[in-house]
Amino acid sequence: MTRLLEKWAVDPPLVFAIFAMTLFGIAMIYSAGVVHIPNAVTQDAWVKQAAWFAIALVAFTVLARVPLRWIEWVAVPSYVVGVLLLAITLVIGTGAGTAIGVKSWIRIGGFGFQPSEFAKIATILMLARVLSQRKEPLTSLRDLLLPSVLVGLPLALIMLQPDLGTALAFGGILFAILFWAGTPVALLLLVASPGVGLVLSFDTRIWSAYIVGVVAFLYLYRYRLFLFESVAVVLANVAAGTISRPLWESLKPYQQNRILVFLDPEVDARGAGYQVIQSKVAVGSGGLTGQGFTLGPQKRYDFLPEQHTDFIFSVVGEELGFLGTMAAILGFAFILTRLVRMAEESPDPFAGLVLLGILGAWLVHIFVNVGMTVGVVPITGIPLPFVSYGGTFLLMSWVAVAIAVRVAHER
Amino acid sequence: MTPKDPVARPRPWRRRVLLGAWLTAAAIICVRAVQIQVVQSQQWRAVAEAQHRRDEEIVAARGSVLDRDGTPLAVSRERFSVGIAPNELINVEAARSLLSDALGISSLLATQLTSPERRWSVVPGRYPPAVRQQLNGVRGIHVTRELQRYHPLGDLSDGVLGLVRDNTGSGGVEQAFQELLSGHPGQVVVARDNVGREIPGERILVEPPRPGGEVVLTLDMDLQEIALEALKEAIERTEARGGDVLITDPHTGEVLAFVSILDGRFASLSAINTPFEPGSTLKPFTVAGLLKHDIIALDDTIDVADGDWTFAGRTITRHHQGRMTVADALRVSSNVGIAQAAQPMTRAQQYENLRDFGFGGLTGIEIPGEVRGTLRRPDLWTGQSPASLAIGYEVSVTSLQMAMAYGALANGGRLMQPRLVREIRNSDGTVLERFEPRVIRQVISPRVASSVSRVLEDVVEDGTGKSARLGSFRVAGKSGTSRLYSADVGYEAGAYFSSFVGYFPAEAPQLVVFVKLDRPEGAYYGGAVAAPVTRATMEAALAARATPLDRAALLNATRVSTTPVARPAALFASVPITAPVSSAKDMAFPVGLPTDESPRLGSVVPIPDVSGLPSRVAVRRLHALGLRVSRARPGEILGTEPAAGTHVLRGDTIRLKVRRRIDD
Repeated sequence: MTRLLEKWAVDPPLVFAIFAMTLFGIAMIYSAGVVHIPNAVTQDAWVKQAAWFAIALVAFTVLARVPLRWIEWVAVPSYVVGVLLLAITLVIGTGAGTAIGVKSWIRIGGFGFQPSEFAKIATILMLARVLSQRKEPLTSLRDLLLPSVLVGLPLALIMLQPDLGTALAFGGILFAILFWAGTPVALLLLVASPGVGLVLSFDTRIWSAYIVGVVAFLYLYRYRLFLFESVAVVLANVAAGTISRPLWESLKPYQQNRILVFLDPEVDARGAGYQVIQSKVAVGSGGLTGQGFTLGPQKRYDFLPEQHTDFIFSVVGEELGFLGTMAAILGFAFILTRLVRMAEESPDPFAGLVLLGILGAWLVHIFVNVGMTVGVVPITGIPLPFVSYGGTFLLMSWVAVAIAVRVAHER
Repeated sequence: MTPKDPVARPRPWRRRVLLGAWLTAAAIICVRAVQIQVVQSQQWRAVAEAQHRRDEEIVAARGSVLDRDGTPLAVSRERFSVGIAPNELINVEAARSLLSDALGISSLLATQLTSPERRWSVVPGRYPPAVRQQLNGVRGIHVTRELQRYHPLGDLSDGVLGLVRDNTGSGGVEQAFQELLSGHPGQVVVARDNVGREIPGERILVEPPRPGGEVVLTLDMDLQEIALEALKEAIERTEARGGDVLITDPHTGEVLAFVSILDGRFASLSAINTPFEPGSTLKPFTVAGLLKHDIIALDDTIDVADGDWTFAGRTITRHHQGRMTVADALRVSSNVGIAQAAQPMTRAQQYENLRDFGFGGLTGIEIPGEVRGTLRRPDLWTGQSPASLAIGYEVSVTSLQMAMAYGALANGGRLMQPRLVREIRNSDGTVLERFEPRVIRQVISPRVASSVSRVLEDVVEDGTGKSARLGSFRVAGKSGTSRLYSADVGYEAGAYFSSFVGYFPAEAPQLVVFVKLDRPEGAYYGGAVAAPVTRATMEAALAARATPLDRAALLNATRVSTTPVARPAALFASVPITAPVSSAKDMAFPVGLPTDESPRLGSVVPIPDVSGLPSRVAVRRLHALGLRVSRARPGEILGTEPAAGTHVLRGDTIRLKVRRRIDD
């Protein structure tokens, strides 16, 4: 029996950890539905999640047995399909729940799914495939152009939905895979520098000092870069600093608010700051051991927003306390560490890059989601893998697990 | 870096950087978790508690206001408002039919209120406690308790009672006794969710509410009713804009009836807040002052010459010619006569005399809003002021001041403080304080008071106040007519105040009845317009059952000399009716204006059918026939005992069968 289960799981430590995490998620979704005055949506969410879990297990069982080369082969067509689906979503997509204004979902009959979740895996495969077939090391900005375009295309389509959270995950995928593919760290930092500059440009003096720092770095690093690269980096930084204000003004008021509220939630305590404040109140009032499973008053009395999806971790914090928070973090730590180990041990370059892509995406999801519930990251609509309610996301996460174990254990 | 295979074998440091980055992220989260969940957890828990635990007040039941016999005038009753949260309803159809059954609302309205597009809807209206039992516990329907102020007798004494808004008295007794009536709110800690809905089972009573105390008024509801009906009738007949009727007990200063109507509003307090120039009704006090200072005697004569008299530039129009006594001048209300008689009085004497009768000062009645009227100090007088003041001009008084001043004439010269409140009680009925009559001062000697009274009897017998004559008892009284003065137009043409003050029985007065009509149309002399109202009021008061009249004393009171002495049987049901029917012809008993055909005493009458009428109206009808009524409670009349159509003697007692109002 044990042997059979081990055989089924392919990689028992990872799969059983994730299995446990999914069950934990269903329990928390159940708890999220236990409120003072029940409502139909949150009350039955855990049943739907369990059903999706069943489907996900079937998908896992099948996909974990597909040969690695098939997966490698399917990368290109699935990437094309993924991008096409994203384009279609922009035309016929709909929103859901509180995010009713966005175009993230394609609905066919009563069934809806998020193409961006599929595109995420497709992009990971595509990127891993392209980079694993390279024979030369990635040493110049020009080498990074193709991978950036491959990620940038779906990312741009997702930003148009708009879905900032998922777009961030694509950023995580790109950097994780490039890093693992051997890109010099300095180059990655230079790629990231316009983004940093964008953030710093709110203060002219800080930004000026930053630009001086970037130029100094480029000068010291000059023997490793082409001139055009240095010029491109400086230009990109200058451009980022220049467009920051118009960009800020082009943001919707609610988006501006979310950033302002991150700096000080009290500026809009009943509006945009409400979620941050309530989430912190819930997590904080959990204390060391929590209010007890299903018993958290902030959740029960309707103070917590989105308690079964994006803010599920607030329920964990309130009801299971600091110990519960730590247990969840450790669980994720184990999963991510296991992914790194699998990538390291994998003899196949494609397999390693796929594993790192998955790791990059999950790392962003976990850090941003948990970070926002405790107020260290601005509010972004991004779910917690395996725990938050969401059918497509759970299914695609398990598909990723299947691919991960498959590629890691192909010998 | 191995050029051959750069991707497949990352160096170990890449793994370490990767793990380092990921551990940094985890560390940030963990540090934050320690900060808010371990270090600050008490603080956040306090914030959470503060969000859903609330200290709330339970409104205490407001105490009742009762009349002198304990009839409730203003009571608080529990009412329930119903709110609906449509998205919480389990079975919308069942909820709809339950709502329309329990609340009697139309199914259309019930459908609208439970429409799922609404987050919250409130059913219009307030419902009796029975509704709570029916609707409580139904998910999505929320019943909220409220206390509503209710006047069981309707608008009978709205002005005196005042209003209650948010459990705070506004005007009248409600305001004056707010502290006592409101009681002390209780404290409760409740848990509420984010939308404000209460969480069941989380209610902690910290302190129960203490209900408010009771206020027992001096008002007598029968007299109040009589006064209101008489005033309404008079206003309708004379097309006056409004008026006041006050009934007081001259010996105690108790206000037995207080009715003010202005522009159709019964909640007016014009009797204390709208001063007017009294005119002739002030003349008795001038005469009283003259007698008090021994300046003149009642039978001294005054020369009114050709009638007109110009004094310091003011011409007082004549009505009478030749010489007349002071008593006659008062009896016929001669302006020239009284003004000339008052001439020897010094200004100080004249001023102090009026001030001692209470004019120009507050009477001290318990309810807010009283004004002083105007009585200028002598150093501000003009040359014509003494003459004007003597006949009731250049001075403004309130109706209550006037009633109290006449009370002094009727009470051996003692001015009483008016009282509206007899006692205040705790919610459990124990008396907190009983208010005793308060003499303000002995204004004139009893001798002077009775001299003036005697002249005032003549006024009614044989002077300007004949319309106030009762068939049964001697009445003392004085009429007054004054023109409306306003600052911008001066004396307004055709706008008058007509007033009449009377008290009876004249030699041992029990009631003072003050009547003022504001701008009556057509006939405007007080004797013609206001005096009949006084008389109607007095007659009805005599007939009514529960009036605070000392009937034993009335038995000994002097009857009207011009009519044969008849025993007014209707007053004393225990006394067998022996009076010959024929001799009762002039008794004009007990109610009605002079034009009315008054029912006669001692005769047999059929009981009218009063079923279906409000009890106030029914009682009044039966009183008008000289019948006594028991069990007069508010509500709709089901019938009488004996039944309608039965012939009974006047003075018999009829029992009313009253249907209790559903919402009581």
